[in-house]
Amino acid sequence: MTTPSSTVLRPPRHQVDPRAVRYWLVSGLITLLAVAVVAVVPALLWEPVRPWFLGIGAVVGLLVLPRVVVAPWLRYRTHRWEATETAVYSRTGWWGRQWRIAPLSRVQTVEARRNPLHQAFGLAAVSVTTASAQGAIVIQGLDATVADDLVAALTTATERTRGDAT
Amino acid sequence: MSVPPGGATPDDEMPWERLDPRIVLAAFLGALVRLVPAAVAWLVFDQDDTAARATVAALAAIALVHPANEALKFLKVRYRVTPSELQVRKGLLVRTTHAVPLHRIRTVDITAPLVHRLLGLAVLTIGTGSNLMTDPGAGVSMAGLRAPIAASLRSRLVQESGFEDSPPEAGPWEPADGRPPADDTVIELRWAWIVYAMSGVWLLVGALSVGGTVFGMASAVGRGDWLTGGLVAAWAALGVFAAGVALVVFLLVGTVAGAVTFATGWWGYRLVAETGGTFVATRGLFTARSFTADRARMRGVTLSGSPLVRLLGGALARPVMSGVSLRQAMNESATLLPTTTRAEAVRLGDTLLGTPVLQSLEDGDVRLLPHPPAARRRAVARWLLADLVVAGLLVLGAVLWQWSLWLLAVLAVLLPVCVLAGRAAYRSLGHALVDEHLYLRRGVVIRRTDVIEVRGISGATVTQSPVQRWLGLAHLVATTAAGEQAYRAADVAVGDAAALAAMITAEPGVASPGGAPETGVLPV
Repeated sequence: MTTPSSTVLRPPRHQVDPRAVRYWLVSGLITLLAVAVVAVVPALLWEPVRPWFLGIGAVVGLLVLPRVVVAPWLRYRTHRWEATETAVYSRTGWWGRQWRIAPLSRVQTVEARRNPLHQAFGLAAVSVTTASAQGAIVIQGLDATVADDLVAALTTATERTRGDAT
Repeated sequence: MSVPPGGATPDDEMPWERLDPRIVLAAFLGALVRLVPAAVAWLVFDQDDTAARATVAALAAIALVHPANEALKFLKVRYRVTPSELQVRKGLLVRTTHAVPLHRIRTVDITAPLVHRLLGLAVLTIGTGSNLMTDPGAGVSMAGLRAPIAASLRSRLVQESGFEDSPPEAGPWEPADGRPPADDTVIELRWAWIVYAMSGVWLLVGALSVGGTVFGMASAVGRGDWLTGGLVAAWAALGVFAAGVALVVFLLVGTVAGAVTFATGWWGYRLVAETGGTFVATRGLFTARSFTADRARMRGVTLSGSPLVRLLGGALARPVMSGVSLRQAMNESATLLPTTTRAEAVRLGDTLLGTPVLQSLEDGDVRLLPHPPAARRRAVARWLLADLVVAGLLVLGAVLWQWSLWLLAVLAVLLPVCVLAGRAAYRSLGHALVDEHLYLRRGVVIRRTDVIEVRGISGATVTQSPVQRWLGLAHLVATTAAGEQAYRAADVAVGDAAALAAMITAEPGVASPGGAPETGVLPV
C-alpha cells in the first residue's frame, strides 16, 4: 500500500458543547478534593502515619493536577464527533490522541448517560458499543438535547443497516 | 437472558430432563481422592501438627459438603432442548431459567475429569456470541450428564443450532486441500510435538510449579521442614557446584513437567472436520475433552512462537473465534491445536479458516510492509529507557543502602543487548491489507502474526501519544467480537494508520489527503 505521507484522519465535524470545559474542570476538582480528603483526614487523626499520608497524597495530587490546570481546555480543542450516514466517528484525548470509528452495521447499543454532574451543566454523554469488548465510543460533553437527538438518529440508522454483529 | 418459567408457549409441553444421580458419587469420590492421602499421611507422621490437622479437617468438610451440594443440583437442575432454545432451570429458593436461543450457540465442549469418566459422566459447556463479561447466560454449563447423553446432546445442539447456516458472505466450506466436504480427520497426534511442549513455557514454570506443589503437600502433613532441611544440606554438600546442579535440576524438572503435561493433555488427539462445517477436537488421557467449533465463526488466525520453539522450527496456530465463553477460555478446553511444526501450524490454521492466508504469507505471495524508520528509533529508545530505569534503581540503592557501584557495570552489558532487542523489535513489525484480510506481525520475545478477516472487524481505533505525534507514528487497533477482541498494528506511519482505519471500516470519508483545517466549528 502506498499512501501519500500527507494522508491524515480528518477531524470529525462537530465540536463538543463549550460547557464541557466547566464539566471537566469541576470533575477534576472533585477528584483533587477526594485525594486531599483521603490524605489529610487520617494525617490529622493519627500522628504516626502523617508523613506517609501527606507524602503519597502530595504525589497523587501532583499527578491529578494537570487534569485541572490544562486538561479541560486541551480536551475541548481535541474532542470532536460526527455521525455520518454509515458510521460514528470521534476524536478524544488531551495528552495523546484517539480516533475511533464504528460502522453502524456493527453497532449493538446506543445510549445517552447522565450523571448528576452532567445534569448540573445540562450535558450528557453518548456511548456507542459494538459486539467487541474493546473500542466502545463515548462522546462526552454533549448538550442534553443534542445527545437525545443523536441517540434517536443513531438508533433508527442502526436498525436500517443491521448486519452480522459478531 | 433470564425468563420467568411458564411463559405461554407451545414449548411448555416438552419434558424437562434431569441430571444423573451419579454426580453425588462423583463428587464424593473426587473429594475422597484428596482426603485419603492427607489423612493417611497425618496419621502416620505427625498427629500433633496443627496445620496438618486443619488440612485434614477442611478436606473432610469438603468431602461432606460437596456431595450434598451436588445432590441439591441433581434435585433442582432441569434442562430441555425446545425447537428454538436450550433451557436450563436451576436454583432452590430463587428459581432461574437460562434460555439460550439455539441459533446463538457457537461452540460446544464436553469435558470429563477422571472420576467423572470412570462413572460414565461428562460436563457440557456451550459458548454463545454475546459479551463474555456482561451476559450470565453466555457460558451455560451442565455438569453430571451421562456421557452418551452429552454426546447426543452435542450433536443435537450442533445440528439444530444451524451451525451449517453460515452467513451468506462466508461462502461454501472448502477444505484447504480441495477435497470435498466430508467427515474428515484433519490431523492426529504426533509424538514429535512433545519437543515443543518441553521447550515452551513449561521449561521456565515447570520446576516452580512442581516444587510448589511438593512443598505444599509436605507442609499440609507437617513435613515441610524435611524438604527445606534436605535442600540446605544438599546445597552445603555440593559446594561450588551447587548453582550448576540447581540449574540442571531446574531445567530437567521443567522439561519432564512439559512432557507429562503434553502427554496427558493431548493423548489420543484428533481434529475432525465434520460435514456441515464444524470442527471437533478430542483429546486427553485422564480428563477427556471434546471441543466443537463452528467454521463460520472463525474470524482469523494467530501464529505465534517463543524463541526456543521458533529455533526448533515450531509454531502455534490459534484460530480467532467468536463465541468462546469466559469459562472455556479459562480452563483451556477451547483449544483446538497444540504447538506443532511451523509447516503443520500453517496448514492447520489455513484449514480452520478455510482460506490459505498463512500459506500465502509463507510463500511470499503476501508481503508485509515494513514500518517507517521512526518506529525503529522509538523501539530502541523504549529498550534504552528500561535500561535507564534499572540504572536509576541501582544508583538509588547505592545511595540509600551502600550497594557497590560496580553493579553499574551490569548496565554496560545490558546496553548493547537493549539496542539489539530494540532493532529486533522493529524488524518484527509488519502489516498488510490484502484480499479482505488484515495481516499484523510484532513481538521480539514471543513473535506473533495475526491475520484477521475484515468482515469480522467491528471498529477501528487510531491512538497517538505525544512522542508518536512527534515521530509521525500511530497505533492502529482493529476491534472485533472474536478472540482477543482487539488486534494492534504497532507504530505504523500515521498516514498508513489513517488509510487502514478508513479501509477496514469501509469509511473512506474519514481519511483525507493533506491536513484539513483543525478548527471550523459547524453547528450541529
